[in-house]
Amino acid sequence: MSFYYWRTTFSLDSQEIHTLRDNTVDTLYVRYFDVDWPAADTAPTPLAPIRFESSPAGYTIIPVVYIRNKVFEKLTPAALPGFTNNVHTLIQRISQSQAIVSREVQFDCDWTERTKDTYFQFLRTYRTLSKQALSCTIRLHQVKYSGRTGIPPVDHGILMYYNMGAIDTSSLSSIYDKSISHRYTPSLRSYPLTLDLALPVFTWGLKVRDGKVVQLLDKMNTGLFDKDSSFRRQSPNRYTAAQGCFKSGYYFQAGDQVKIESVSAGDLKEIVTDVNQHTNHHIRNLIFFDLDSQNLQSYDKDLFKEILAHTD
Amino acid sequence: MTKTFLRKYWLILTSACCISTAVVLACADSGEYMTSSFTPEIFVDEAYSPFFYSELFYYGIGHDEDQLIRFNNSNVQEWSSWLGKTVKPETLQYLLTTASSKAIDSGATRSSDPKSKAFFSYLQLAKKCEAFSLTPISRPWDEDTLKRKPRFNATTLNRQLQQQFTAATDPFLQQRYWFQLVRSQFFNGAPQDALHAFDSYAQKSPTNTMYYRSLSYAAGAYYKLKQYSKANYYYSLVYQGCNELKTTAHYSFHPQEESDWRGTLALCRTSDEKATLWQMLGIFYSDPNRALQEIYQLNPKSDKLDLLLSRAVNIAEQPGIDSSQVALTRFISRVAEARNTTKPWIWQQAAGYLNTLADNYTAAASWYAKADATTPKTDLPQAQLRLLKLYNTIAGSRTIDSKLEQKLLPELQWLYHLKLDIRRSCVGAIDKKLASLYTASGDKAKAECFVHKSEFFASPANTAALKTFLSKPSPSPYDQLCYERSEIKKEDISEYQAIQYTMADHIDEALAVIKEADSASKTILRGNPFNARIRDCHDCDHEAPQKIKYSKADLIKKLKELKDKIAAGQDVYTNAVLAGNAQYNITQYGNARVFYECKIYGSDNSGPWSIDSAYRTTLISMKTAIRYYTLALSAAKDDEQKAKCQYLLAKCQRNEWYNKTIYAKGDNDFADDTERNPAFIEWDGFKALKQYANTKYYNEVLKECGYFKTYTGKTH
Repeated sequence: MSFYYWRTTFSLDSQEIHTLRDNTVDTLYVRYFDVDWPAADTAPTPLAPIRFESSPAGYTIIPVVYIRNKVFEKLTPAALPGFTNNVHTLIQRISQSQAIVSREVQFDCDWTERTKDTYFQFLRTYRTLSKQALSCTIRLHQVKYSGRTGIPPVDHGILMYYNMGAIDTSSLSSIYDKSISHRYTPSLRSYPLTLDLALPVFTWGLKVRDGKVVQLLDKMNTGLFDKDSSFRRQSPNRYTAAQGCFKSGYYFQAGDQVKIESVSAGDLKEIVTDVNQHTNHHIRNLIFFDLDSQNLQSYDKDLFKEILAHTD
Repeated sequence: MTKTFLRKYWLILTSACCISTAVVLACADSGEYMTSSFTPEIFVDEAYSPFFYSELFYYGIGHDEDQLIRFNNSNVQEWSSWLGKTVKPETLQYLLTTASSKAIDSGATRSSDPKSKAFFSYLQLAKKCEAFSLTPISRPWDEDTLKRKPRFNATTLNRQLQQQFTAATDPFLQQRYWFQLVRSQFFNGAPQDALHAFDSYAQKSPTNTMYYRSLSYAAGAYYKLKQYSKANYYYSLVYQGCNELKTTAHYSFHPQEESDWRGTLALCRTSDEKATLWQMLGIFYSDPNRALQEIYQLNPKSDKLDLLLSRAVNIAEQPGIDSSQVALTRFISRVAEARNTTKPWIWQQAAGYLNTLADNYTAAASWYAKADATTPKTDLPQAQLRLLKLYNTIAGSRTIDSKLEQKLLPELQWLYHLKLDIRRSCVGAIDKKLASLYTASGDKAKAECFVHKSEFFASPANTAALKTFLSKPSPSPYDQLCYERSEIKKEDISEYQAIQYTMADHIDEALAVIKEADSASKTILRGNPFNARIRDCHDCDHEAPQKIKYSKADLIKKLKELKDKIAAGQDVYTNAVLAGNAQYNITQYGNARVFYECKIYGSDNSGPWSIDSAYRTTLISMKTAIRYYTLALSAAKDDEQKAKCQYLLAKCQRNEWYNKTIYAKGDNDFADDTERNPAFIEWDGFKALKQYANTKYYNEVLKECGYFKTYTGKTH
């Protein structure tokens, strides 16, 4: 098993280090940077490249780059080689700054039917340029509708088993809900790529104002709100701000509502059971999203071993 | 999920879909303020303009990237005042901004008077500080900041700065050495050292720009130490005291928990300092209502209210209903009623406007009446009041009659010719409301004058009604206003009618009416409209040499000639082919598209999909062309002629097939659907053309038309 590391500063604290050691994790999938194409710009641009505060030495690091689909909507065929080159160079530069040698690179992009050709061409061009193994994330809808969205030209895929629902005020969690995933899992059996399974172990909150979600509250959990006198609990995962207040750097207006979404150990076991069932136990690796002591503290320290055992 | 490094308050969702906030960005008069008729510049201090409500990060600025040059000009000025005549301004500019350390060193050796010497001593140290203080914004893909910047060893430098600071007797120099030391400690030392340096002189320092620059580094030092209460308090002092650093202070201001926010408030020595904090919260944390109430309670005369009032109203102007608007209107009305702010008139205008936006037109009118008495008699405040009143009157009207028209006339004349720099997005709403009032009363012509709807002219009755209205022999002043306002003028209608008639083959009527559109009639067509090719090539036709160039009027005249000759039985085949070609060419398919291009039909259509759906069928119809080609066929004398007619008909058949299928849908769908878009169809014209295999023309077609070649291959 391994973990995704998705923070903009690479710095492992003791809990994170212990978790990696206890579970004999030697590989980390580290987000190097995002790529976006802001409306006002004439070219795609990298965002928030990672900075290393502690050394990644001792771990096998696999760079991951998240590219917004918009980039491939706007990228012309003529601009593709230059873009691929830029991405490659930046990945190299980051790796070299920490003496990281990786045999694999991973791309994360929620591509669509329209961007399929450009994205796949990008992957092919990248592979020729870097001569490394390639993997990429696959979302559930891309499994089910692979006839339309195609199979990416990579060595293996990572099935992203989260963020499958709409971010809204409904009772369903946008991170994981069985009723949603069940629409897709039967398609797994016939999917031709080897798949790792990426599992969510994070929580977040949705700040709701006038019935609309206005902000995501990164890594906030119910524990934080239960103890806060500025908030009134409406239900196990919903709160209302009784007055205007600051919390964890966010500001809440009086009347703002918070919906906390999380994934339980039971959910994770359920996911593994479902995926096992629909792939005939052909899950290659488990990768947990994401490594952060803020996430880890919500789970029993043996959780990861249990989930891994569940895959058998 | 990821928090970006550069824009700390925006979450980039890496594995989730993007969230759009409740604010809908409407199409803007300016790229900065979206929909608005309430102008902050009229009553808010210019120093706050970056914080006017805007879709940009900072109004008028976008993202603030002036870090490296912000103080260049003031720095030169301050040194210039202190040095007097001993150093020329251009030299000073050069030395302070661009000179290398070598140049500075050499300047130092040549300086003789005490002040210059002191200046150069300072400059030599200041230059060394640039190694860590001038960090350029890194360009994308060029991330040199990836590597940990080698830590600048400032031990010697700091000691020198400290020595100079201690030894300085002139307060000007003393303060500058102090600033350099504080900054150097911030970048290179421990935060406590920066604070220690800061505290050693802060009380003595005059509260000028250098002071606030130093204060902002002290704030940063507290932030590094996670003492957020103090850090944010200092940032608020910088925000308050230094205009150049308002954006920086605003961006750095970041309370974490309610407890540190309360701690910041507790540090305030005056109610004005508290008002500053509430204003900052109100701006950046989008709670202007709360901020307004807190500041009003502290001090109704606080000028901090102005910016928040402008933001609150500008937010309320955006489409989309916010439940906090009712509370906001109530609060603003309360304040307007109390008349105890520094500018009661703007609160009255705001109360009126918010009521207009909430459709409470009577309440709004009474607020405007109050504002009449209090609004200063200067251009901009008066103009805004007049605008808002007019908007309210029109928005609140249920019918329109000549009495209302007379009342509105001077106001509308004023509005449509208004040159003052005030926001006026409501003009669109005014036009729309007038149009709907006229529509409701049955006056379609006037409605069209205020809001042009292209499909209006698809109805001959509408077209005639507007033409009549625009042709009044003695129009009243209000009529004149309508004429001016109307996007479509009389000549535009005549031109449109001429085109319509021509395409329907009513040439006499076309001739009569094109005379009324004199300038448009002279528009030159780009190619020979009477020409046809086997493979349509508009560019070829446009570039080919033309002995005669045809204007729109010329084409109609020529069509008349052809028609008369055909009627007289003269050379029917040739003339019918020419007329057919022209009818083909003036459609979207032809080389004389310019003929149909006019204000009503539109122009620059790269394909039928972009043609207004009200007119698409007309502008792509092959009906008239087919009629003439069929006539030519019936008059054809030999196989060559018959072959040509059949082929020309085939082209029309192909176009009609497109019209029935992909162009009928209007969605420009190029889907690879071979059922809907077969690769090949056997046109009737093709089938007929086969019988003329012995003609020269047949062979020309074979050479140029791949589809025909395929067809003959398939059927042999």
